[in-house]
Amino acid sequence: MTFNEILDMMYGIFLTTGIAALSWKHVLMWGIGLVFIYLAIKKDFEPLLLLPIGFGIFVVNFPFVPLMGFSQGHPELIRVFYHYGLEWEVVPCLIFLGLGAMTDFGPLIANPKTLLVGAGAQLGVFITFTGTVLAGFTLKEAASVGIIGGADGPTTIYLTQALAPHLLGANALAAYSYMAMVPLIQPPIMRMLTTPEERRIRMRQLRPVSKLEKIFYPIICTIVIALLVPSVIPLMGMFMFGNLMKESGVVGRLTETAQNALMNIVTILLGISVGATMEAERFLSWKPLLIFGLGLLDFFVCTMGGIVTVKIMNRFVKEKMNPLIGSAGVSAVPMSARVSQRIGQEYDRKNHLLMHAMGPNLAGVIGTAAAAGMFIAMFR
Amino acid sequence: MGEAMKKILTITALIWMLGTPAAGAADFLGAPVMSGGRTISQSERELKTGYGLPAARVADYYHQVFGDAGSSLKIRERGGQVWIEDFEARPWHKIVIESSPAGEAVVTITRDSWTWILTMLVFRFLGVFVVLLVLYLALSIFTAILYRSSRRPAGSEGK
Repeated sequence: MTFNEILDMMYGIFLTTGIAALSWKHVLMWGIGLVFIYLAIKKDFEPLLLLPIGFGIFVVNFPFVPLMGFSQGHPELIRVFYHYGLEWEVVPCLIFLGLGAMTDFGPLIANPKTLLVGAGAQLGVFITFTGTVLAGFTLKEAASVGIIGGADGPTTIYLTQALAPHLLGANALAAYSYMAMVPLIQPPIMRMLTTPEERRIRMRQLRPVSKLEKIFYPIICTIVIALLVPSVIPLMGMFMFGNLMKESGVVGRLTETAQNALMNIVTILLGISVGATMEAERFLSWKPLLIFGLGLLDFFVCTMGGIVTVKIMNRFVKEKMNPLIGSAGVSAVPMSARVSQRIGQEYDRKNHLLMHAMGPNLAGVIGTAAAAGMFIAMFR
Repeated sequence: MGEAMKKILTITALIWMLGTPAAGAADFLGAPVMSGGRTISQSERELKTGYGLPAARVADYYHQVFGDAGSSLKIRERGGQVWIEDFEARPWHKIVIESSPAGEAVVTITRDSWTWILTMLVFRFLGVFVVLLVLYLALSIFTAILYRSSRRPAGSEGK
């Protein structure tokens, strides 16, 4: 064997490695993935999601890695998760099942007028839709981008998968990133739209809610949603089913599984699958970058919508509500409710807004799902 | 013999017309207009054409034309009408195929407009309020019934 033949052989081996096919785009995507991993580990920003998403972005952006493609006609590892979990829209619904099993609707049942705050906080969804169309997106894409402001990850994924699956990675990432940044994004808007007197408004303690009310709530909600926005019942039906399991108290084992094991499994599959959709070739274009900009605008307007709705309602109700709870009308449960509590206490140490803010917070989940249902009914 | 020939010619012409939908067809704002119709009305915003054919035949033509358009179009039936709506950036928004009282097909092609998008958005936004308002009312009514039924009857205390 000659030296040249040995060199050729070594060159052949080199070509089978990923090193030869590396490009600056891969390296840039590693950077993005690592930023998410950093935010999750160091800053504790939604670590349950940002960590798997970050790793998904990182690991899929190596040349030749058999993760998101097909080899010999068979889907590769993460492609299997993605196909059965996201393309079949199973994972968002299972996450809602788990969320339902963890949710206490008591504050919403005790003060049902806060449901309207959840509707007002969807303002950004519709305004961003218009802006997104103006930016050159199709109507279906615009709907999927608009829903980001609802600050509800599973709903964003569900709607995007239904209407614009090619934007799934960017939309999910924008939604979860901004949800993680709720404590940074919302306070300036809350201060801008409220006066110090309004921030000090104390709300009457919520009445206790009976077990029977809590059991009937998911049934009533399912009836209303199934009749008015049937297209979103896979999400909301599972949400309410999870809640019924919890409130009934008779299926402890199932509730415990939905809250923990099942929720954890689907979160892992969701995170890594969403991250893995962000291959350099697909992500590094003007659309995903614009989605991040529009998503931020969306969050601003949704927060404003919630606060303004409370202020408008205050003109008509006897017992004034603290407008700071309006910002919790974007979903982001329970982080945005905690932000309301924190800002409220900056102006009155003894003012506890957390439970009051949970009402609009949960209403926001239903409102975002309703908005998503409207879009699905129109475009699918 | 002459009648039979007429029938054959008519059927051949019809098959040719339906089988080659796009060939030589005119268009309005980029939307195909089936040949052989008469213009009922035309403006910058809308074109209305009548055909001496059943509406189902005309709908078949558009189904064939848009067969490959995929998910960018939504084709649905609404109260005897066939609606073809576009969700891409085409200059036209919808094609409505319906049957006139005389039984002829009438096709209306409408221009895309911001008025449509914005009106639709306002209605959908209000729709979210309606959903949550109905839920609010349902919840309030249920709570009221529950409290009324669980209250002790007056004068029953101490018995």
